[in-house]
Amino acid sequence: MNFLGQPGWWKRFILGAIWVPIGAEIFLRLLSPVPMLPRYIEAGPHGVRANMPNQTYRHQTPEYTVELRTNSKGMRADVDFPMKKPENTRRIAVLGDSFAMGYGVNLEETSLSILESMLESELHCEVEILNFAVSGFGPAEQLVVLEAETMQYEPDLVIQYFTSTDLVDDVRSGLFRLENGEPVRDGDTYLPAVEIREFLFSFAAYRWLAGESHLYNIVRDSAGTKAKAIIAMARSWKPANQEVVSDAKASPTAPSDDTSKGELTLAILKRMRDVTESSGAKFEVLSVPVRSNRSKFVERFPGDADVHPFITPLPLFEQADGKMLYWERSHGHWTPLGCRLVAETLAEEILRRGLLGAPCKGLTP
Amino acid sequence: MLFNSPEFVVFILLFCGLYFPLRKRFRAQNLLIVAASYLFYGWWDVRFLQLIILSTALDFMSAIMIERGVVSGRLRSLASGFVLTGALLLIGVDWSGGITDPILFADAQSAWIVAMCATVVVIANLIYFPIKGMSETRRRKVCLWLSVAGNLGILATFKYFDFFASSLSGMMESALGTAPSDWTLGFVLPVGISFYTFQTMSYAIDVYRGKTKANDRFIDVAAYVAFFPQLVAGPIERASQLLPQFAAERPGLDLHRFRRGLWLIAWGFFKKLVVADNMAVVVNATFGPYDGGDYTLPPDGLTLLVALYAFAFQIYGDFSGYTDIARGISKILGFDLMRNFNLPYFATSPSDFWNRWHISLSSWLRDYLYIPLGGNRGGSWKTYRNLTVTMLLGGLWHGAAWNFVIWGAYHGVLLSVYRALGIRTEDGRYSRFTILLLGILMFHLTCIGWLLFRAQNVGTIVAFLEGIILHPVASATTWVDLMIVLKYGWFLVLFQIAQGITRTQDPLHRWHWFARLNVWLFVCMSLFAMSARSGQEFLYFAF
Repeated sequence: MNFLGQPGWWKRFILGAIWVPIGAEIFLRLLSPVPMLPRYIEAGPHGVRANMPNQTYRHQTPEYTVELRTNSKGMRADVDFPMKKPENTRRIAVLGDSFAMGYGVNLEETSLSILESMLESELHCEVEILNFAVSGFGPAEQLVVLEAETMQYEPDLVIQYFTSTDLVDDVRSGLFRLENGEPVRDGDTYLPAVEIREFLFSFAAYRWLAGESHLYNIVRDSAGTKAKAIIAMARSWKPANQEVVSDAKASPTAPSDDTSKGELTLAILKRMRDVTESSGAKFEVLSVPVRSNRSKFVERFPGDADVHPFITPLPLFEQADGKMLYWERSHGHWTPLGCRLVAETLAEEILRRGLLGAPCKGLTP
Repeated sequence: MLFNSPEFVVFILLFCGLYFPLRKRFRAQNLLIVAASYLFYGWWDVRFLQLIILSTALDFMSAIMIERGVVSGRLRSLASGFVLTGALLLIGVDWSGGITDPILFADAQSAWIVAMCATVVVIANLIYFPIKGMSETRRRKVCLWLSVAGNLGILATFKYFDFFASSLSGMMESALGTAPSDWTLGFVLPVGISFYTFQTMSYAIDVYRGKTKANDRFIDVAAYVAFFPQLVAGPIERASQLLPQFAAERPGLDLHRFRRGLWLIAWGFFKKLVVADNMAVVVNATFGPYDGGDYTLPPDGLTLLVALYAFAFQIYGDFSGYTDIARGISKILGFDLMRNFNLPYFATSPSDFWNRWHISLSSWLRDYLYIPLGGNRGGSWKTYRNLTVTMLLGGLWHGAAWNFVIWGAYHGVLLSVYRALGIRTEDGRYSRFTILLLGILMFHLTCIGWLLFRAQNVGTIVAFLEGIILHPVASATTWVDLMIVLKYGWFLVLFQIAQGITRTQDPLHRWHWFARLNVWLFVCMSLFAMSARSGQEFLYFAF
């Protein structure tokens, strides 16, 4: 049986080549819908990624459809914020990845929007929460943004959302290395696939594909996951004959295990705290629990809580009686209920410890 | 090395890169197959390779002695050298893992193995001369029994000794109130031991019965015993069918053979990764608490029934998926393996089921156990006895545990009851409606069998039966689980209906090219998008 010897083989070939992507798209839409979470990201002014400003786009998954809107600075917000903090206003800056950005929920349902409302009603002040989060960010990129931009907005409090992927993100980015326990800037930029992404997003057809095609998204996710694994593996690789001479010489781009990755991230977090506190603001870490199942969650923050204090919504999550706090078929971000519990945790901690100072008097929210 | 592991992809690519250039030199291909098969098996546990080597040498010698009564010095040296070389190569291997509280190999295990193998070789060469001098009838019988005893000895030691020792110990404790010291050997179960011992044993028996010729090329026999696609989970091939394929040049790899092989591989992976592994989620969630000893009866008995259906899909998808992959790889390499499953859940009676399920084992048991026991030649009661004994041992073949014995006995009783009631669905005397009802009945009887097979204790069996029969109530969980079963099972059922209607394993080639393209597209997209996240090992590796 010789395929090329069959009459009209080329017609079958062309028809097949046209039909396969269409059939695959139909298959996915009917039987296995794919989460479609396009990321509108570009090269930011500080050598790291930034959200594209003034964008409105949708995230669609089998579980939800939400709209994302960014302001002129790429923050997830409907309004722009002046750099100078208005009077009688308490300002919080938030750094993090897709959890902090509020993937999986509409703007009014994000943990930060809920937190803002809660704090305003308790403090009787104007409260502004500036969301500097970018999907895929690790603390290394967040530190760059914090030093270059965030502090110019005069926040009273900076909150960093720590996720379990932060350790490997910091290694992969190669922006900092550890030297005598301190993070030292190593790489100037970390813009993975940003140029190609910017180029592709300049085409309306591509934007449609990224936002609407299940086939495109499953292929991209699959390729992205594998590429990330390969990059992390390559950066973690250390030649067998390379001896670790001292901590100072050990490259953070070649950590030997999770402990060294954790040390780098903890050092970056400590630097973030120092930068924040040197401007008179406060710094807190909110650790995002990892979901084992609906009623079981794991804390993955690498540091000792006494040395590196952090806030966790774990107790509230565990009291949620098995309710769905994380989307289960959509990259595992928080549901509106999950966001609410995180906001409650943060609000309780901020108010209890007076992190935004005393309540305003004579002002109504 | 699992078929669905990255290591296997590398392995098979390298293997094919060496194998196909040798297409004009099939002896060299055989040598390559033996080396690759030993690497494939040794990837799991290199220690138990020596059992395969011993079994190969034993049956190679036995078969020639049965047929000709004499083995040349060169062949004896070859077999002896193979065994000793295998043992010597194992020096330095760590024997401690997987052997808990070892009695036999407490210290210096490698030295023990070399010494034991050397002893076996010396004894085999010493008894060769007295056996050679025996009358033909006596010699043939002695050699046959040496082969059977050797293979069953390996099986008994590594698979069943601990089971019977601990059972006997438990019985003595119950009867006498005191337990003897631990008799168990603590061996881990060598992967696939039941498959290759049965396959190699059938070679000597078939030579004895004159159904096949003894092969005096050691590498051919070694390749037949260890052929990697079917080494660890079958099909259990017969020497008369597979061995001649090693003794001749392979057919060329034309487009038809390649397409057929590739389809079997893709379809096998679909059954395993999409059907079986997704069903495992439902099965494990429902059976999990019972496996842990919590026999609380759920209020929704139908959830238990859905879990049983899911297990029926799981075990079929898992086992027949492996067989299809094995057959597909073999097909591309130029070998034709036997069909091991023929739409088993379309069976309408127990005998029909066993003609369709794990055909290589059921036909093995029929030919080498049931018929020698007397088959159906001694009247009704002897037939029932033979059926029950055969199925009981068939159950025990699956695993050294009482639930497998009970499962086998259950099928033996089913076969006997159907025979006693005179229900014969094969001769076409029933209406289509009756056949349909009998088919539905048989499927549910099979599911009860799967409960006995899957349950890890009697409490689970009781709880499931009580829940399904006395509390047939559905809950939200029932519907969620049912949707999973339907989502991952419907295409398998539909394709099998097509196979049944067209009465062919491969209905694809009869269909229009566009229909074929869409079936391929469906299977490939399912593998890409719907494969279970947590891969499960093939269930039948444990047997």
